[in-house]
Amino acid sequence: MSEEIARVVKDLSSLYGVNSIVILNSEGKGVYSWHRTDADRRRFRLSERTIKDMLDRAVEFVRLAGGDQVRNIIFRGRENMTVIEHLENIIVFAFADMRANLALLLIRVRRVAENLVKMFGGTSI
Amino acid sequence: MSELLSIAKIVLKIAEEEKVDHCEVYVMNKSKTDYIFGIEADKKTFSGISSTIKGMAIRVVKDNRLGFAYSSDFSKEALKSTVRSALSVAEETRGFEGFTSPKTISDVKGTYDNKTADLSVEEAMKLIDSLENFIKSVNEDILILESSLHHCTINTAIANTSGVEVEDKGTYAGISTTLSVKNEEKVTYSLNVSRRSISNLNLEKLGETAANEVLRLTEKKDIETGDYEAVLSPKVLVELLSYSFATSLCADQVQAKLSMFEGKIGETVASEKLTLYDDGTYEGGLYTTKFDDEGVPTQRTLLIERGVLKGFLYDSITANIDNVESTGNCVRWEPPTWDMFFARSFSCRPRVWISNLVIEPGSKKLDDLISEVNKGVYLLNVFSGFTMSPSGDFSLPVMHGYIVEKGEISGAIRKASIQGNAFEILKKIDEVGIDVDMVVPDSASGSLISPHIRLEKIKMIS
Amino acid sequence: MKDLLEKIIENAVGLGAEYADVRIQRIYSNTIRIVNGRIERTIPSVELTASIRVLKGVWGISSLTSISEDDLLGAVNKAFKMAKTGAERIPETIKIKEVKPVEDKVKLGEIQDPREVPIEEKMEIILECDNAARSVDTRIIRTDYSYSDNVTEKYFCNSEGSYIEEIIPFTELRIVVVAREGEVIQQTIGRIAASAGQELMAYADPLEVSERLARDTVKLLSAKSPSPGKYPVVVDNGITGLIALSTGLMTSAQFASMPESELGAFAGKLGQKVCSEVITLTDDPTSSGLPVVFHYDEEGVPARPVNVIENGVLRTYIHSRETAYRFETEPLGHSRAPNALFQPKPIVSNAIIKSSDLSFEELIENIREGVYLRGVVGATIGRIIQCKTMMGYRIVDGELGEPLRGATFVVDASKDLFNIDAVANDFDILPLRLIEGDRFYPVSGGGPHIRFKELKIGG
Repeated sequence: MSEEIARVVKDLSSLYGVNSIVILNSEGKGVYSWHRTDADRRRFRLSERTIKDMLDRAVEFVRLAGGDQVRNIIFRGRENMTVIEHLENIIVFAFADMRANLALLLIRVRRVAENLVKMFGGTSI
Repeated sequence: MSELLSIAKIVLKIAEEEKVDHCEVYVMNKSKTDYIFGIEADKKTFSGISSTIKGMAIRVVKDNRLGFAYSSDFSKEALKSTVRSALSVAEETRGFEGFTSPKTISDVKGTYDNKTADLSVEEAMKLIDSLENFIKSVNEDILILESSLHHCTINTAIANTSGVEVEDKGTYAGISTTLSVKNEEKVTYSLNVSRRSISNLNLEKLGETAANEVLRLTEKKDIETGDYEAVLSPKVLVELLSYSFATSLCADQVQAKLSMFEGKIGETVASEKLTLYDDGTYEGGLYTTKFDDEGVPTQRTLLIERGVLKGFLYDSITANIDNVESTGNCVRWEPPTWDMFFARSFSCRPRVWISNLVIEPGSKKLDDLISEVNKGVYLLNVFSGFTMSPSGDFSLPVMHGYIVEKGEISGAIRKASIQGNAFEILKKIDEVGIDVDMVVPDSASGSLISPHIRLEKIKMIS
Repeated sequence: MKDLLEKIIENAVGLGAEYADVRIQRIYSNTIRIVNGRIERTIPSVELTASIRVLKGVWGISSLTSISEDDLLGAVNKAFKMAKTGAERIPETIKIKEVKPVEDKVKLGEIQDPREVPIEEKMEIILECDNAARSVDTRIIRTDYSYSDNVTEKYFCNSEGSYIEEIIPFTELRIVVVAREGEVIQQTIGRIAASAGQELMAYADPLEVSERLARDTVKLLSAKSPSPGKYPVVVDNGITGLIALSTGLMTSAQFASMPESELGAFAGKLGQKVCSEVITLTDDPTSSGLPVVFHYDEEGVPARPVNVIENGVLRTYIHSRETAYRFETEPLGHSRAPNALFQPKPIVSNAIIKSSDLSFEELIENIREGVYLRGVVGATIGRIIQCKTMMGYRIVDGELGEPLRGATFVVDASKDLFNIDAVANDFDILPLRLIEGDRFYPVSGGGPHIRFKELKIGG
């Protein structure tokens, strides 16, 4: 299964500037992760729980502001950016440096989420 | 070898270093000078503008994929990056079977004039003075809102990896003037004339014609909505023929099934009075060149013969698809590129387009065409036809025109539009005149060499 | 570059020029067109343009596509000679308003430089948008995407000691969606543009814009055409933008010096009421995020926003240095040109109508029977604005009713602009392109929703 996921995620990991990708199910359980280099893997200290918490907080935040559902969250720093996309039972996390094409990053994160949803249907993973 | 051709060959070499399979380089230099006298805030103004635009475009092929890019920066670095850019956007192109190979190129006449190329500032000013004097000599009350002179030299060169190495040069000269009449300031008339040399501009005749026209335009009359017999000037005709109609004659449109003439070869598409050519070799034509924009010799191509559709225009790509020969109509133009002389540019991707459209003259003089009209109009100028729908439907405001009653001009049309369909108009031609003029459309490439024509009827909307 | 340009200017002054300036612009550009998911064309280009203006009684101008010292010096000679010979025939010589010399270098802001983004990535984004639009409904028969980005490096030097370098990005996407059901064909247009880099394609969310346009187009297939007539009419920001732009263009001192021209309606109208008092119009080339942003105009004058119309009264024209001298006022940096081959003219950049504090709901609450119009499909501007709108809604008893197909309307600037009786508190812009010669250059109009007490609309 991890191989099938890897095939789908390749679309995103091949984008210039993307350094780390984590796929979670909607309960926050990690199902796949990818890092461009070993150094990226070592640098990465974010837990799956924290990613899920971040998303939950954003959902609550937007709800309190009177908004509807959260499709994605984008953080931009000076040198990196982070995208968390939530689609049905899939959460896609991507961490990239600023040289990456943000427009394309958003498109591919969404495409990966859609393809994973298609792959797993409504079943929990 | 000219400077442009040697540049083309340098670029070919750079492309070979970048390991392209095939390459074509087009280099163009346009040196134009405009002398414009005008009126702004009631004061006479002048601006003198000279411009020299040099640019090159390349088409490269790698693994059967064709890419296009252009640059007006000729630094080695820019040329190299242009080759790389062209490679980065290369795509599969249907019908492309390599760049054209060398062919015998014949000379064309009346396209270059030393005097026009070397016209000095003083000479140019004198010509404008004499134009203004001719206008003023007709009537002292005429106001000259603008009078200008333009001249231009264009050099082109093409080299490709199939061995084509060709070059051409041409000159152009033109005047434009806008006139009004004292105490009738709302009435204006503009005349723009472009030719291949200064000596082909008959300033005396042009000045007088423009002056007489603006005087005649002061007597405005209303016209009722309805069908009228109509005499059309070449200038009106060129606005009707240079958009949907010209598009429909191009093989790429036929092949894409977008042409109104698709599948109609041999059918009657116009009045039997109409015979039409595209002629890239016409003596002194504004779009007369030795070769087209991919180096294929230009030619005269019969399009409509006594009302019957006879052929289409081809470049080498579309010719390959239909298994025929190119008609030498590869043209580097796309909207909104426009020029009063030669609306082509290195920045446009090559496509199929007209050169000089030529309508075979008939036998009647303009006065006779008008004198046979019972209830009709004589139209001099309309708005640009570029708003026309692909099917040829148009509705164009009349800028200058007259009402004709019982063979006589009885007044100028106050405010009206013509409405109809460009393709239907051609079926209504009942007479073609004899006096040929050369005109260009307001917003397309190509020229029309045609006499006045008369229509059985046209719809006028008040 | 500075040494070269200063040398050219010294040369012009040496010949006897009263004033001279030189502009060099290098434009790196990419255009991509995708129709129905097929790449129609991608054209990368580098354009190098230069021009020299010499004032000797009148202007002599020489433009070229080379920056070699010899070519530039040759151009100076030509320009000078033309001015000198021309001036002999002109009784009144040209003067320009004095401005303080400036030395400055304006760098590219924090953007994603489109020159560093591979063209394949740009194509993928557009293809994805195109696919998203066409996936919305099978009745969508045509999608047409025109993308372009460019980065312009500008160099300016004049005989008064100014030397300015500025680098300006621009990114634009135009989307046309056509849907068909039987004989009914409907079309919508979306426009995204800003003086920005590739990041615009993320922030402006072209994917979402594409899907929304596609949904709107399909919805229009079953909508009714509005019944022609006179109604209270509320228009959206885009249509307000069109009106703002048309009005803004007429505030150019150059057009206002030609009363007969189509855009010359404001000739001699300074200090007079030219539209309803709820309208305040600003030409603002300085606010980031808008399609046109520059620190210095084409004559090296620092750009500042100008309120051209305040509460319906024409306060000032926008000026070049030449017209500012003639009108005895200050040039505030509003001279523009598509590239250095073209000469500076006072032209609006972003023409913005000021918002008020009314909400959209308040704008429509007292309308018993009216029309709400949205989006511009096509338009001609000038004294008479003719516009084909994209879509509309009926307004019934203060609320939005059924959707309507696009209506056409005509605004006669001399009458209908006085019929605007309220403006809302929101803001958006309509990016458009102005054609000069064979070049486009960006302009925009913007503002809030506005209400016409009464406007005639056609079907």
